[in-house]
Amino acid sequence: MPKGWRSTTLIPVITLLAFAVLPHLYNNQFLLFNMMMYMALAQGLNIIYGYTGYLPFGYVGFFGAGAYGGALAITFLHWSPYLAVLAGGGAAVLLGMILIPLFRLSGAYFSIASLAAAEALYYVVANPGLEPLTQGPYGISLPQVYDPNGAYWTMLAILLFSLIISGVIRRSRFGLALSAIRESPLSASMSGVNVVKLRSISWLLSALIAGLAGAAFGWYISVFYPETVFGLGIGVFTIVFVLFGGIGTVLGPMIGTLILYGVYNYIGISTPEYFQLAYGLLIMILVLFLPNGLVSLARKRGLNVA
Amino acid sequence: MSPDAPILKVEGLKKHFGGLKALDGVSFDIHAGEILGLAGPNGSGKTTTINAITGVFPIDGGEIHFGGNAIHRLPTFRRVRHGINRTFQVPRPFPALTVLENVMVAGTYRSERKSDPHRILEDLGLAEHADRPAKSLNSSQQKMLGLASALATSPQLLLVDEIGAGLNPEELSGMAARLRSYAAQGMAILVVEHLMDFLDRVTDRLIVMDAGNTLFTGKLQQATQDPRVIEAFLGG
Ligand SMILES: Nc1ncnc2c1ncn2[C@@H]1O[C@H](COP(=O)(O)OP(=O)(O)O)[C@@H](O)[C@H]1O
Ligand SMILES: [Mg+2]
Repeated sequence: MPKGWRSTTLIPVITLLAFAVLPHLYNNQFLLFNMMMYMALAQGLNIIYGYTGYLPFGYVGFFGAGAYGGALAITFLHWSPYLAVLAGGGAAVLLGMILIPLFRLSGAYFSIASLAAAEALYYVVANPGLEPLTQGPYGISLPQVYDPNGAYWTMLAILLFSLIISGVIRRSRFGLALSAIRESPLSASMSGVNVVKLRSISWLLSALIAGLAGAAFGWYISVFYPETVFGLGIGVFTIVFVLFGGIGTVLGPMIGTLILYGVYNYIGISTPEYFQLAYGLLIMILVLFLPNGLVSLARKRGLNVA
Repeated sequence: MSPDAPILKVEGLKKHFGGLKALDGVSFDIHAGEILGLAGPNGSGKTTTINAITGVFPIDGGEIHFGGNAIHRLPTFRRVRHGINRTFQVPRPFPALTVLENVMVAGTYRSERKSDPHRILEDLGLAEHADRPAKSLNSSQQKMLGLASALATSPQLLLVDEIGAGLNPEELSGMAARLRSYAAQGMAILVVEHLMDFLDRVTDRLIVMDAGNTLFTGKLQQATQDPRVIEAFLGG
């Protein structure tokens, strides 16, 4: 196996072992669940931001769409929660398709427009007029499928899926073409790359992962409100974890999540509002001074980072 | 398509930027294996001609036929996959990717005419830099990398935009020899160039543009005696 592929395989294997064993050593399953969730979201965001350079501030919209998509499949179609998680992924992909025209915008305009789209979806879902469908502001409750263990293992599967997709992209010609798009869309098309198609595929993969994670989250907590799953906090955390760890790699978002979500849980739980502020500032500092994240420091020292 | 039909046929090409007519009805042909020079003062529309042929922006009038097919509505990547490529006047590599990766991006397509990135780098003297990020190359190396990327899509039509500028005399002769050898293998080449001396070494057929119009088409030797051409170069 070539060197690069070995580390690409190693990361999912270690992750699988760690999250399979940890619940037996540590009794806060919800924290472990959230850790996996943020790791998956970080990989998902990395696929669109790390490779193509488009940073959707409204990435949480896919998460919320997934949570509601899954919940509606359970409530109205009486699907099993496992199928409902897939439905959540599908709902996010659908939303992603609707939002593809946003790519006509560049840079910051794209980022802000995606945020506006996520906010708009939040207001639609939370609208009391939609109570028969979404329960509006009163929230969703899914007691009939309550099963934290089932949701835990599902989230682990989603995380592994995101790691495998991310690893394959990193090592494939598809990933190389995506990196070319990030560096210069014009030169990429001059190299024969179908920029619109490849960017859309990575966008939808990124949406899919967030949608699956959102649906599994909704299942795990089984009672949630629009602001729980469309809250900007989830989006800010995901962005800061990816930026901190390092974009365009598989390992970077994992390390970023491990450290920053770890720190947050260690000292931040009691004062979450300060953390959102602190992490918001951290995003600005990272973009300005360490745009390629922690792993870029390792790479500067000659280490080959997966 | 008859064997002596031109591979590229440009007819009445128009492009305006706001009120500025950058191209105002430009027409010419190129045959396979031929090198055509395109000269003209700064701002006369040479780069815009290349941009129009490669689909960097939509044109406002005229037609472009390549290999007998109308291509002027196709997106850039399709034109590239049909066999057109170009270099940029100011090189536009993928800065963070390595030299080899830069060429590999292009090598992914046109599966029916696969190119070998390593061989291309070897031929252009970039092999020893293969693993360096493109942004670390000096400007003449970046020009070579631009040519390498274009060649990696195995073009039948190559448009080169002032590739001679900034090269030393030795590099210039190397470049002239290289372009002639590509043409000898059947590639059609449009050489946009300021340096008449360089054009003289690669072709004897020339177009001269001024303010979006073709001033002159014919033998290079005659161009240098044509009063309108002299006027455009000296008066422009
Ligand atoms: N993208 C653009 N937007 C606006 N004006 C442009 C653009 N590209 C070229 N022009 C203008 O069109 C004219 C022709 O430019 P160009 O084709 O680059 O000339 P050159 O013959 O020096 O290559 C110039 O006046 C230039 O300023
Ligand atoms: Mg020019």
